[in-house]
Amino acid sequence: MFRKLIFYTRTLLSDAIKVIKGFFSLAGHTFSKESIPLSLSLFLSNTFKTKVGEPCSYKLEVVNHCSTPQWVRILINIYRHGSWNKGYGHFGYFEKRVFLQAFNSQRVDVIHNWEELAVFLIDNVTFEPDNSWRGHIAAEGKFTIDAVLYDDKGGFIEQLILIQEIIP
Amino acid sequence: MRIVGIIQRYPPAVGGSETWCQEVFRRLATAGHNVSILTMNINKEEEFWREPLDEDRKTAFGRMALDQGISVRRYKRSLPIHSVYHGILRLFLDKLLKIYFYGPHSAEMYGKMWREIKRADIVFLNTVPYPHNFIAYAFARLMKKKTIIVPHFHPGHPYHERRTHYSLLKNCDGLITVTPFEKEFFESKSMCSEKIFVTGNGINPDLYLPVDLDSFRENTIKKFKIKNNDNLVIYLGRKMPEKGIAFLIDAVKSLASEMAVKLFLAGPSFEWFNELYGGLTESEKECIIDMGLLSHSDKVNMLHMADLLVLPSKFEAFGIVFLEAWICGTPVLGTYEGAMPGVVGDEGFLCKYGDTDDLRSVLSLALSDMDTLKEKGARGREKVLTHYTWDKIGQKAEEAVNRTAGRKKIIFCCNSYPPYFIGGAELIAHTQAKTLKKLGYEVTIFAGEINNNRERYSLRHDTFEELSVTRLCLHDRDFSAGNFNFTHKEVESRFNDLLDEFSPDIVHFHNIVALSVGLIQTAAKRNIPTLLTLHDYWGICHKNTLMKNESDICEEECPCTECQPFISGERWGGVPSIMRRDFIACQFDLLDNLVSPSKYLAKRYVKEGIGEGKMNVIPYGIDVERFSKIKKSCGDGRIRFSFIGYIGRHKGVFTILDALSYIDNREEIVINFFGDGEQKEELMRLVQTKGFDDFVRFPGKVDNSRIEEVYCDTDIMLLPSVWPDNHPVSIYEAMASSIPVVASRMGGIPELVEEGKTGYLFDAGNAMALAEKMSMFIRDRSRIKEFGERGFEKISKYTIVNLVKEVSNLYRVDHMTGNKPSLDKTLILCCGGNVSSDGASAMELFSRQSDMDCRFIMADWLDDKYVEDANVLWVSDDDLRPEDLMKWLSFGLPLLVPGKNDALRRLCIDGNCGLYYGDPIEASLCLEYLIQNESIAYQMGRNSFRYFYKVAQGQATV
Repeated sequence: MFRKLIFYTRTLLSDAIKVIKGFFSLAGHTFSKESIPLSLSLFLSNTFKTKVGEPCSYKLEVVNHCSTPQWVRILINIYRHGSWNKGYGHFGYFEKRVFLQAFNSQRVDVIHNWEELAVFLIDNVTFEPDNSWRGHIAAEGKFTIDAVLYDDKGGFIEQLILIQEIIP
Repeated sequence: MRIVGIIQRYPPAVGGSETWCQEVFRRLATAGHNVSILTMNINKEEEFWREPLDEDRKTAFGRMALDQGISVRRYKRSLPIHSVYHGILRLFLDKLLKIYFYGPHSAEMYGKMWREIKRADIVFLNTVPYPHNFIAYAFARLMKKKTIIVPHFHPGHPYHERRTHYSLLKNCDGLITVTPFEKEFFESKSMCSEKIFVTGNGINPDLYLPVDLDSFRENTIKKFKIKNNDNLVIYLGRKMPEKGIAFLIDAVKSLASEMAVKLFLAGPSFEWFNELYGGLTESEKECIIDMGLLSHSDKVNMLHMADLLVLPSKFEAFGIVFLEAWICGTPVLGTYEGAMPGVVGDEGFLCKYGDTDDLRSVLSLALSDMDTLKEKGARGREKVLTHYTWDKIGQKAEEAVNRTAGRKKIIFCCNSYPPYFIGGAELIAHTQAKTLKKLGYEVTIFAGEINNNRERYSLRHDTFEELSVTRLCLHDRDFSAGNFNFTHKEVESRFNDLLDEFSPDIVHFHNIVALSVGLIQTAAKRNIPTLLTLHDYWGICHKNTLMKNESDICEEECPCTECQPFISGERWGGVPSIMRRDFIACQFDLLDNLVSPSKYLAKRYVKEGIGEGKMNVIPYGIDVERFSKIKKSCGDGRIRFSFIGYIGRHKGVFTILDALSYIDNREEIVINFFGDGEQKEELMRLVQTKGFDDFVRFPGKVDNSRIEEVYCDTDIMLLPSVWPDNHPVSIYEAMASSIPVVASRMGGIPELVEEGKTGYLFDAGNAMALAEKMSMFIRDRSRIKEFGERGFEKISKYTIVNLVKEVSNLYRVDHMTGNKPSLDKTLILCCGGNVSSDGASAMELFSRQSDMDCRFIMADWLDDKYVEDANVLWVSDDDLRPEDLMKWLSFGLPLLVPGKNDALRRLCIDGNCGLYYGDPIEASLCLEYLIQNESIAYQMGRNSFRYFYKVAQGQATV
């Protein structure tokens, strides 16, 4: 009975906090103007479960909403799921500088077979990553795949996350 | 128009209403509407209410996307509330207020939504029962915006059947249903049938082509032991009780004793179905096969293999699987419930829901006659292609949007506009704009205005005769024919801002030299329907007049080399004139329609390779009523001949003076020169010298608002043009004032003036002939009235309202079904500030010798969207620095560079990006090679794109 009371009180409090936060958030959004010059609009993988050695493809779409072309950086960062410490859970990363025409959406494909380094595919042209690193973690179990968009000066813009499982 | 669509989620999130929304909105964008979508970053339906998100998700959405011209803004879903939702909200909202208001919600979307709605012309709501519709509707009402909703309503569904939903649907200005059944349902709920539009649902036929069907068939036959005489029946959909699967299974079990039949059940399974299927015997399972979930290609192949698709549901809002089956040539069987009878029609079979015997007998009937089955399948396929492709649905949805919005928005574009400058073209543009406004269009004007004292390209807004005008400051040099008067990127940028702000449905261009001909591409790249009214020859002659000199008219094609072989300006030097012509022609290619007031002008443009297939001859039209009211003054008894217009040499004003020498009884006439012009002083001097000053007068320029005074004092109008005048407005005005016209036999004039009926024609420049025609009126004054009346009778047919309506019929452009204009000629882009002498020679050589229909255009003049369509990137400037080439390499085009520029030659060799040349002959040959060898050119283009990245990465230098 006491446990139930604690549970319901906690849930009610948590909901009340959500509602209050929601109202503040609504007020904030109502009065703030937004501008989204660049966005990582889509990140998807062809499969949730994959095997080492099988090419796994990731599709990214980056939008340039500016009137001028832009350079951006795309970082694919892979961690063991639930573990965020570099050196312990960090599997590796690949980074590529990508050119975006004005008012355009650019598709970027990444092919990674969990054995060798990934390659980027832009407008049917294959590119090696500009920067990359691979740790010593075995490719097995669940991994978090982050796609992070930075501007050309390294300023963070947007991050999208997928989860993938490597099966034997 | 600006359409803001609001929906709970957007593809690639999967869902019927989401797909409808995407397909329809894509087509609205293709039709030229400015479409933006507000939605949430949700993929699966479960995420509407669940926290946290899926562990095994394969898709993640960002904040902003561009989807085939649609801007998609994805907002963060607010975290769902559980305890309060179940306890309090449900009690109040669900029980008392009958509002389904649980979510998904997004504080971010609700907060930002009002700004988007404020800018919209119409708010497009999607799918009940989601709460975003109520929020968006409230904002739309507050801001007095029109609303249209496509509810995807399920009659009888407890979450749909709410009074608040009916109230919302009743109050929206437009309501789109996907079936006539749904429309009838809403009509039965007292909704106004006028505002209900039926669009249907659609599929993309290209996605239903079989993939490796033979091997699929072979494997399927082997796997499921299908015999030759087996009738194959397929069920597609969720395996739920209300889909009538239990009855279907029973019917097939019973039918199996009568004929060889196999039933394939494909789609997601649920516990209820697993229990049902588990209860079948092994022998029953041999003819009733659960295929589980099929991939799209397997589904398509199965539909191609099957003899009949069966969907015995209790209710279907539409039944998209019917379309999927039909497009594969497979007939269908549905029930008499819901929308199915309307959708299935004569192209399928119907049975009673829940009646196993009836289903069995209809199945038996259908499968026993293969010819009828095939015929129904073929007719079904035809029906899909005629009524249910997304293009068709998009067209119907656009009509619904247009009718709900109630008006169309037009931008008129011209290089000058009254009251600051009045020429024939400006007057016509203004009259048309006013008339369209009266006809219910929303019109705004984008016009140039010469003022050397104001900042070049600065804007000011004013209103002229209740029309809103955005005036862009131009300087004299912008108009100069020897300069680059046809391309100004700054003007295009200002115009682009106006397109953003106004979101027109049509852009109607008039004279746009001095502004920028590139305004056409600025509108065309947004898919906005465009139309241009020609007034003179600016598109094919930099002088506008086709006059080589004072007396010779240019008759040949592309002869600009004689008058002005090169153009130079602030940014470019030594550009061959052919590039002006090619650029204008390429911009005209992007127009949907061209209007020429005269056949002569139309033919001349078509002869130059411009506007073929989209040229329409529609005379200008005139406010007949205004001029018919003019009462002539008596004068002093002498016949008053008037010249009205610009006093310039091309107007043949000196011919009048020469003609006067041949007229005997000059004391019976008066000559009035109304207007101003560069030849006025010279003309006045000659009048003095010849002693004509007692009967030749120069009353000066008369403002158009007082033009009646001119015709009041005119008996006969003279128009002795020595240039091929198009359709002079002054002739329309004179004829509408019942005044005969004596004019030269030039250009489009003979189309208006009928010799010996409404006036007289003479050969341009022939003063003696003019004198003879004038004398005919002097000798017989009764002809003035007689000819004037005939002229009035003729021009009375050309009322401005009738002809503007004729022009506005051309505004109905269909971009959805592949009629969108494009650049279809071979495009050679030149880059650099100058065209070298070798480059110019090569261009001339190539144009002369090659039989290819090519266009040479400076890359800087073209919008980036169209640069991608080019075939070759030619560095025609020998001194171009490689770093200035970098921007263009990003488009992945094969290069042609001058060999004498070492750096460019090295770049070409190192990157294998293209060819280099030593002299004009080589350049011409290289061009031909790159155009003819598409695969090599493509590979070189890829290499140049790769090289661009290498340079950016520092792996290569320039």
